[in-house]
Amino acid sequence: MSLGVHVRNSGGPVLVACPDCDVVQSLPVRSVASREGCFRCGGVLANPGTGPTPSNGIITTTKPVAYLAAAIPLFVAAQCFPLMLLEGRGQRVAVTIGGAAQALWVQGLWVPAAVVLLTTLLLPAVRLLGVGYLLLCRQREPLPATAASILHALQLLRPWNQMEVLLFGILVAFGKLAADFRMTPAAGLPCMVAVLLLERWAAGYVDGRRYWVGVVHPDIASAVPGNARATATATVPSFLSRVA
Amino acid sequence: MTNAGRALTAIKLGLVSCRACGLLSNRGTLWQGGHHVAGCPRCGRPLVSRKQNSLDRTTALLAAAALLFVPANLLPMMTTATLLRQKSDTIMSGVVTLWTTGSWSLSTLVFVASVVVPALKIVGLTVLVVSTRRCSTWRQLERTRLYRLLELVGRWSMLDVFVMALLAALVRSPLVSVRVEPGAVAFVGVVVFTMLASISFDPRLIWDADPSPSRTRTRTRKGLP
Repeated sequence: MSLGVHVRNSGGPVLVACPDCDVVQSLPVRSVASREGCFRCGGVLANPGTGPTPSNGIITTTKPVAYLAAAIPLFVAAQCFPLMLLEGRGQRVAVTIGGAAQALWVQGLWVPAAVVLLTTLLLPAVRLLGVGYLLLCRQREPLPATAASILHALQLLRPWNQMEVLLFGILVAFGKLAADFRMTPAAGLPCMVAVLLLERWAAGYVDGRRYWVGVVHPDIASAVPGNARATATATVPSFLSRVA
Repeated sequence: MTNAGRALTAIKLGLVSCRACGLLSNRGTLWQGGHHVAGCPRCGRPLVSRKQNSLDRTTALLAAAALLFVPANLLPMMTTATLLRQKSDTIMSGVVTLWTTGSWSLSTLVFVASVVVPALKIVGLTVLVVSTRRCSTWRQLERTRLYRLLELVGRWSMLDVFVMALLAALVRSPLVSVRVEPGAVAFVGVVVFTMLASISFDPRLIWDADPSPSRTRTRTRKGLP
């Protein structure tokens, strides 16, 4: 049994397997822009992501790259500037993510400190850079082989990005201290909210199906009669190419 | 779903869905360096039809999480020291303190994130692993939904860790200080292990259970032409 035709025909209906229950079903053409659920278990077959529908199979990533370019300095600001200020009882303390992790570290709690640093500083930074790299990849003609590995790594690391959980943590900390101290949000907080929104928007472009519209492996593409362009790109060292 | 057992799954058709790009293909189609390689024809990532050793890994991680759940809830998480007195708080006493000081919404939020969610994950994943090990066809749809719920809420348990870190960093004057206790390590362990357990569980295994022959016959007579 060969489903090669579905691989090549990126514009038409495609057979997919539900990620949650493995039932094979066909995905309508419109699903590049809409959310599709599995008929048996309701699992998400296709995530629409953000941005306009690529009717011709070509995705322009100028806008998300711009959003991401804005998100990176904001992320640096969110990490450098304090998130909240505490005043009262003769003291004035500001806290950053690094400061919070350090407070755990100096008390000998290395594991929680490392978890805080990883989930709110390191992995969000990796995700921002990774999404940026993937978006830039899609702007050039042959898609490099590393793109797939990086996209997969970002998918696996997604649950460990917890900046939004930290936002709720800040809310609870406010509630706990508001009785005894004067608490004020500081400059880092709006930066962090902005980073989350921009990142969510830009990452919509690289999430799942949308990113792969029109991507064909050169060995398969060269097997299609008359697909001269694909045959040409097959000789390029990087083993993935985009067929318009 | 009357024909649940009869639906054509990718594994029955000899197909694999790529975990990175979602492409459905038959195995070993990638022609690379003169021989077939089991890789996705579109993105080249290795193809696996099910997560490897899914049930064993989930069981092990779940056992670790369940063991740590006890000290995480019994040991104090945080000690607030003022000039006059010292007060140690477990997770539950922290929730109660928030409740009695009048922040009911925050108290509920912390209670759900740090007590209900970890407990729900441990119990829920145990149910999923046991029923899947027994190749049960019992409530497959509900079990899949349960898995999706667990995956969605799991990461929010980390909330209390962040709160402790913020409090420890903010409140450190000679008059009043917050010290985080080793109970926090157990709590972080519970959250991390339950997250790893739900990541290593493969929900497609729920649907791999074939209905017994007698039940298939009844179904065929009842629901299918």
